[in-house]
Amino acid sequence: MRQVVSVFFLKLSLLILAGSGNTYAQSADSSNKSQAKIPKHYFKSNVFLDGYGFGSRKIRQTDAVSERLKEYGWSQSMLGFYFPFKTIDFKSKNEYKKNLHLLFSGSFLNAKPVFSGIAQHQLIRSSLGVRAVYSDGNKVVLYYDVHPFVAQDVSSKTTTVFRWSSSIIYSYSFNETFTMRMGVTRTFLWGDRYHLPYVGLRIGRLDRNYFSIQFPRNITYSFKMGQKCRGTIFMAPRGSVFTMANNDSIYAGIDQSFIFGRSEFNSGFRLDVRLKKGFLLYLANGFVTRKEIRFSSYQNNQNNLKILTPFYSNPNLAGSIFINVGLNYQFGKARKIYNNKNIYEAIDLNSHDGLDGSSNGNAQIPVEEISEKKHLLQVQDISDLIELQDLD
Amino acid sequence: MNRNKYILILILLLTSLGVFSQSGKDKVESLLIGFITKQVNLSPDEAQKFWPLYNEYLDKLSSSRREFKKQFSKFESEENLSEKDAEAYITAEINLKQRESELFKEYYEKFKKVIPSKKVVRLRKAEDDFKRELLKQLKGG
Repeated sequence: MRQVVSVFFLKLSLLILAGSGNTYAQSADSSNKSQAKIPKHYFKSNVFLDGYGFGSRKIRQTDAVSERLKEYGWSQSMLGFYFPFKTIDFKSKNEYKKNLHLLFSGSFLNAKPVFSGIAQHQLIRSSLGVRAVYSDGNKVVLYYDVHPFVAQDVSSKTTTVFRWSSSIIYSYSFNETFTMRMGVTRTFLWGDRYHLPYVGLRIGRLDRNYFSIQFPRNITYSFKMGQKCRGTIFMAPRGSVFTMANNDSIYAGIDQSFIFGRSEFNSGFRLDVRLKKGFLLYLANGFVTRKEIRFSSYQNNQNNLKILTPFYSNPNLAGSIFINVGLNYQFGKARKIYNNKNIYEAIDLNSHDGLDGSSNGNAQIPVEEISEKKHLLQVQDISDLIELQDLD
Repeated sequence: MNRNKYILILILLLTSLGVFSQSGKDKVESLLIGFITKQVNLSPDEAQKFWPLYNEYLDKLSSSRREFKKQFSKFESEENLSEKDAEAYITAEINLKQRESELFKEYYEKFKKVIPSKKVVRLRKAEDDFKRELLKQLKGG
């Protein structure tokens, strides 16, 4: 029954994704005289694969549980998606194009913690959520997401517990190069359930170079490396809360399973490469520090709405090197968004996976084309543009 | 073991880097937008109002052209073209040009609400100059 829940989430996600094919609208604005069909949505559908891990290091803390666990390492892979299912354009008296975007999102994460002293566990997390993004066409973007998820240990019988994470963020762009964000987030990124204020600022344009602080998510400096690549120096927390079977009797109580919270801090460099036809490949590498694991009993935390009380915690785990590789595929027809800074902002807010901390690299934001190498173009690329009289 | 797996995936993905590039039409569009941005010189407020409109205009323009191409893709070679088909093709092409000009008329009404007509003229001139630039480049000039 319990494993069926995850499979159900996965099947439902695939079903929803398959039904997202019709991307054209007659016209967003019914007053338009022309009958040309334009795409319904501003957001493209996105599917991504993300792999992340770091090597095992000896656990130095001296207590009974640490000695049982011996070493700690981590590897995980994730399949995720989001796609727009409703876009509403609002008429505005001041000529700004206001719109509301509703998206479905989901992910399936398969993680393998490496504790060399106990049996191998396979932890999964499935989530299916909704996002809403409102852009006022000028300076303001409002973002809301809610991601219910279920975490299980598929290597053994475990308790199934539903949780949810959520964020509400208000973004205000003072000008092209300075944006501030404020909000509230319910997040598990720091290894437990936290309700934190969201405070962000960005200096620089999203399609050029920028410096950004988004607490509690990340600090980044991102810069263009030619027309195809983008480099990012970053610091970010990464973590989650899982359910782990107690078949190794780590917990002395009667619980069949316990809550496994993990968090770490990643500092490194990420390279995003835009491939052909909507594919984006990224690779990140760097150091993992401030690693922490916490085991908490379900029974003892049943009515605990604050931070979990762990029966084991280890905040002194040795640092290591992480590697993160991912492939994004953006597909479907979407409306053109060139130089639409308000929509760029909306896309950026939507690019972060609130559950896991991964990002799709803003693949939909057009690269500012500064190349003078127009001779690389083919005649068929520009045939639509050229009229007979242009040859005079 | 796991690290080796990631490295293997990475190598496989990196070997596919040879395929990276924007499609030709996307590149032309990006170049056009860059060119217009430089030439028309919009204020930040004008830009916020103008670009969504211009994107919508481009969307409709390319949609009309796409529909026309889709309809007549089977006539790539004139050998299979009957007299009736040829007539249908020419009529559709005339309709397309008419639609394009109606579309510009419709959007000119919208553009002039957000930028002065003088800048719309600059926009049209920038579009023309861009085409000439491209032709010059293709000729190798």
